[in-house]
Amino acid sequence: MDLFFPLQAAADWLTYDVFSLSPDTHLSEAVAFFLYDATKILLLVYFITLLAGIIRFHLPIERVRDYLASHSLFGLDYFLATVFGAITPFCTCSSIPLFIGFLKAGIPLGVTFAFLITSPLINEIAIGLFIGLFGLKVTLLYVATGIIIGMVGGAIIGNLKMERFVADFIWNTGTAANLPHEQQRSLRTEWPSIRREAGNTFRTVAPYILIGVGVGALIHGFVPADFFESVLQRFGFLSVPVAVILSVPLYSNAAGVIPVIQSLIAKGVPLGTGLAFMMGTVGLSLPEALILKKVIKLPLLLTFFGVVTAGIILVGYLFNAVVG
Amino acid sequence: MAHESILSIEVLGAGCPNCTALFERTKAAAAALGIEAEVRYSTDIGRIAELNVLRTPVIIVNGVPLVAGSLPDLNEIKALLTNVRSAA
Repeated sequence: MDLFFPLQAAADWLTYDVFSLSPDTHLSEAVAFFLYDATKILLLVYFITLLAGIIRFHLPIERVRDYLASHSLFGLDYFLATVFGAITPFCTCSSIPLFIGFLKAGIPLGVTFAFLITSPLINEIAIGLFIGLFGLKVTLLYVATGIIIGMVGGAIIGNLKMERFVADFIWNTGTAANLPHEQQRSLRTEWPSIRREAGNTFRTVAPYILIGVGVGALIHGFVPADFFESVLQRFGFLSVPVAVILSVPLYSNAAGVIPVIQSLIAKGVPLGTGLAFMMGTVGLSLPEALILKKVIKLPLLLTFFGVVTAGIILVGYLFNAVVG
Repeated sequence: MAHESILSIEVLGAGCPNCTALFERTKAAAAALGIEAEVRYSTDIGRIAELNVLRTPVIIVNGVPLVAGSLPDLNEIKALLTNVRSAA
């Protein structure tokens, strides 16, 4: 990545000249890697979070809902829902109001789930980390995969006709007026609050990123290349599902997990297995499940999780087979 | 001012950290402005459905959503509450 050349030069200068670590040692490799990656990723995450704030300003979720509610385009709505899901920032806190609001606006259950599946999978922090750690090509593959999992998952849920497993009160409550809409706002007047929110998000994830990159740097510096290849061979074919299951409890630490996985991949973990693990970390969230349990009944909740888990595992195998 | 125009303040959320943070800030803002109405916190999902908000947490003043889906700082909340007061 040429764009980041000055950062690389600065990291090298600090490591070898200022700290006077001798080159080609495990320690100096780890230090240089940490300085370069940590700054690059923090910068990327900050800018992409800001960008997400700008997108959220121009495309508020209310508008997405209205658009999806008025365009049932022979399956194209599944695609649109995932694209909107990808570009709108996701917060677990909002999954309930989103779910209720979409259904009440008349958006089909499957399309609503397509949105709910993709939204956490493709979020601004994951994108920032992916670009920084894996480059643009793998990031685009990741995004495409997240969209496909959302579309297929949503379509499956839609076809299973599981509307009866949605809490009754959602269909029964009347619709109140919308938010009394704020006066005409402009990007300029909203800029301070967009920046503040980006700053808040950034401060929350930065420690995790630093820890994750730190652990990743140690792995880069000290673990022999191809080390994990031999470890994973013991799991053989099962390594992808095992990775996905292990990823579930790590949800809140996605920002710390992704840098570690990148270094595991660099040391011999197949890309598909690593990718499945990362998708599991961001896409399968127990807190979200507990929250959604309040609005959907168990069969639908299990189907939702089952479909996403199966999708992620399949993607893992697919990547291992193709890129492997 | 003889008459207080803010009769009720409610923070509605799904119970996430952002929601509780907003509740604490709203309480502090109301106290700083000398608003007597009690600030309540609710995780009632039925209310979320009724109000037709797509994002939580929400500050609801006199039954009307004021802010949804963001975590304004103390001064902004104070300004918003002051606006409601002077508009009444």
